Amino acid sequence: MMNPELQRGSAPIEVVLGIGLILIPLTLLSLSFGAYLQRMVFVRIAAVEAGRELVLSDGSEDGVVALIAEIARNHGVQASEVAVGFCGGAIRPVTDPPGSGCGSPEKGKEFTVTVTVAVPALVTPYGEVGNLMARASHTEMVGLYRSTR
Amino acid sequence: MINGSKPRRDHGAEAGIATAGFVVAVGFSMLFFVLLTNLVAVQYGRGVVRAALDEGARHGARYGASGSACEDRIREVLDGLLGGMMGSGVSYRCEGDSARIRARAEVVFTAWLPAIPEFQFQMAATAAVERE
Repeated sequence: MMNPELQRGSAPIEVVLGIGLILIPLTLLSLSFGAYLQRMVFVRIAAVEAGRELVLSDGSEDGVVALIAEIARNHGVQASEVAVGFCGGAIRPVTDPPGSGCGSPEKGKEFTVTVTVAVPALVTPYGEVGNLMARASHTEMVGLYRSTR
Repeated sequence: MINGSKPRRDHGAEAGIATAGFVVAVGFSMLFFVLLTNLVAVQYGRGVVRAALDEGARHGARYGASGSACEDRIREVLDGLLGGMMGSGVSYRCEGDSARIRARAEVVFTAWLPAIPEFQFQMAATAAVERE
């Protein structure tokens, strides 16, 4: 039989510690997870649409960058947080002039677009802390029977 | 304890009505549960509207698509995934030019509890139009 004296504690202290060390961190993590999922959906859609646009516009990267910026606005994301890379080239912010990466479109050629966006590591009521990166790539092929310029 | 006799407790000091407290506690728990379920349903609704707009914009961006293709597709998706009162709170429209199709929706989801305000938000989707 255990000595009841050894089982004494302070309930108020334990409640405060439990809320501060377990409940609040878990709540903040849950909130941050939602923001991460939202940004993942955004980069996925942006990469797919950018790949289509790159093929449809016959390799015009300016049009792709403008489209990604518009999709970012649709999702409530600042364009300055988004970066894009073409065909394995350098990934640059969409606010910068795009660098040529894919070259001229030829029938059957594959164009790959990579889109990244900053994701807050931790969302708190007082602001966002830290940064993670969400990233998605999409490869689209120029149609074999498509007329190109 | 003396001679194995059990200690006696004074039950008079612990007297009370458990039923009233229990009913109030369960009632508030149920309200909280309904509120959480409402939030989950709203999140589901947001996902459906997002999917419908993306589908509609992509559908309307096909080469040779008719002018109403985008809105028709949005309606199909909403009818399939978001019927009833939630579905009736979604209004949408499509517009576009030779390069882009844009679908926009304004959404009002009524809260399930009387004291909670409506959930209102806007969404948009853009797709590149297929060209020759």
